[in-house]
Amino acid sequence: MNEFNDQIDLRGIPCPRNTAKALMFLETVDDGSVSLVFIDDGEPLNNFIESIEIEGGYTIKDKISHQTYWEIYILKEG
Amino acid sequence: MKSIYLDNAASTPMLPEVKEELAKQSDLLIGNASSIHALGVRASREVEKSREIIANSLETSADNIVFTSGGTESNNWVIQSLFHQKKKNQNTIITSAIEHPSVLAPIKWLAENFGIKVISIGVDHEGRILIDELKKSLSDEVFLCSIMHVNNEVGSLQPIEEIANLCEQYNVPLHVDACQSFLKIPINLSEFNITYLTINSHKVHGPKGVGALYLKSANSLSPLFHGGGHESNRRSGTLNTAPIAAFGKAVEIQKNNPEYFKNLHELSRWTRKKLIENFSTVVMNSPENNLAPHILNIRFNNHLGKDVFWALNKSGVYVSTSSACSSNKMTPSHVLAAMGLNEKNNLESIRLSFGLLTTKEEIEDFIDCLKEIIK
Repeated sequence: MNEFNDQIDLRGIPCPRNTAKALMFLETVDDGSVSLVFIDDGEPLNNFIESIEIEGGYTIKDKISHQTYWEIYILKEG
Repeated sequence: MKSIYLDNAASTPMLPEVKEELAKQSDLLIGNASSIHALGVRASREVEKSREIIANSLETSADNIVFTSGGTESNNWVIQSLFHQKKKNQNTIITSAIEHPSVLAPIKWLAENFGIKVISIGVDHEGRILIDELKKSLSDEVFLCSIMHVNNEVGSLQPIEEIANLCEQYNVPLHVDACQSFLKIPINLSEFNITYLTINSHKVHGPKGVGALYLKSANSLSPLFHGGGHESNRRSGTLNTAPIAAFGKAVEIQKNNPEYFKNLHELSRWTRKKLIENFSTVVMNSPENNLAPHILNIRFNNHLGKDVFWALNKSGVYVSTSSACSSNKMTPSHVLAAMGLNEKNNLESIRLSFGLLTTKEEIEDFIDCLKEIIK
C-alpha cells in the first residue's frame, strides 16, 4: 500500500478546475512529501497527468485504477 | 482644489495593489479558464485562488461561491430562480421597503407578470426593519425572504442573525444583499443561517464587472444563464479572469488589515462631529448606532439636496443625492420615505460615503467647501 502525507479529492470537479485546484493544493504541501489525488477516469485523468508534467517539479509515483476514478500518488520534488 | 470622492457606496476606486494585480493578470491570463491547455489551467488557478480567498473571508467553503457579473446579477439570479423552483402552494416573497432596486425591480416584475404576492416589511425611523412585522409575515407560503444587510442610502445595519433565525424557524430561504456590508461588517456564514448572499467587487476597492453569490447548498439554484456550463453548470459565461483575480486581491488586502475597518469607523464618527460643529442646520438621517462605517446620510434644512449636490460637483466634490431624477421631476428616495421623512426633508438629503482612500484632510476641504454653499 502506498504511503502519503496529504490528500485531495477532485472527483466530480470538471476540467480544468480539478487541475487548478490540484496545483493550488500541491503548492501548499512540503517538498519531498507525497500527496494522494483522487480524480475521475477519462479526460479528467489525461488532462490532469499532462498538466502536472507541464507544470514540472512533481513526479507521479503511482497510479491506481478504480472503476470510475484513479488514485494518483504525486511526489513534490524538493 | 483636487477632486474629493465621497461616493464610495456607489463605487470605490481600486487600491493601488489591486490595480497592479489587474494589470499583471490581464497580461498573464490570456487563456479561457475553461480551456484545458496550460494557459487555461493558469487562468483557472487564479480564479480558484480568488474563490478561496473570498470563501475564507466569509468563513465558508470555496464550492459555495459562484462568480457573477456583480450584485444586480446575483440578486436577480436568486429571485428569479427561486420563483421557478417554488412549490405550488408558495406564492409569496418577503422583502423590505428599503431594498436596492436590483432586488425590488425583479420582485415587482414577478408580481406584475406572474401574480406573486409581495410582503414589504417596513422600517423604523432609523431604517431598521420591523422584526414583529417579519414574524407575522413568515409562513409556509413564502418561497423567499430577501433582506439587505446594510442599506445603501443611509447605512442602517439590519439584525441579520435574528432575521436568519426567524427564517430558519419557518424553513424559508433567506437571501441577503451584502454588497454594502461585505468586508465592513463581519459575516460568518458558518454561524449564520443565510441561504444566499450577494457580494461584489467594486464596492470593496476591486474592479467593476465582477461579483459573487454564496449558496449555502452549492447546487440549490437553477441557472439563470445557460450555455457553456461554467462554474460547475451554475452560471454559464466565460469567466472574467483578471478582474476576478484582482477581486481576490482586494479581499485579501482588507482581510489582512483589520485596522482599515477601524479607521473607516473613526472617520465616519469624526465627520459626523465636524458637520454638527460647523452647521447648525445639519440633520443626520443616518442612525447613530447600528450603522455601517462608510455611509452618512445628511440634510440641511431649507437646502435642496440636488442644489447642494451640484454646487459640490462644481467644486470637484462628489457625493450622491438619495432622490432620483425622473421625468424632469425629483423623485423622493424610497428609503427615506420608508423611514418616515416627509417629501421636503427627503429632497433635502445627500449621501456621503467613505472608502479606504478617504482622508481627514479631504473631509476638512469638503467642509470648507460646504461652508460656501450652506450659508
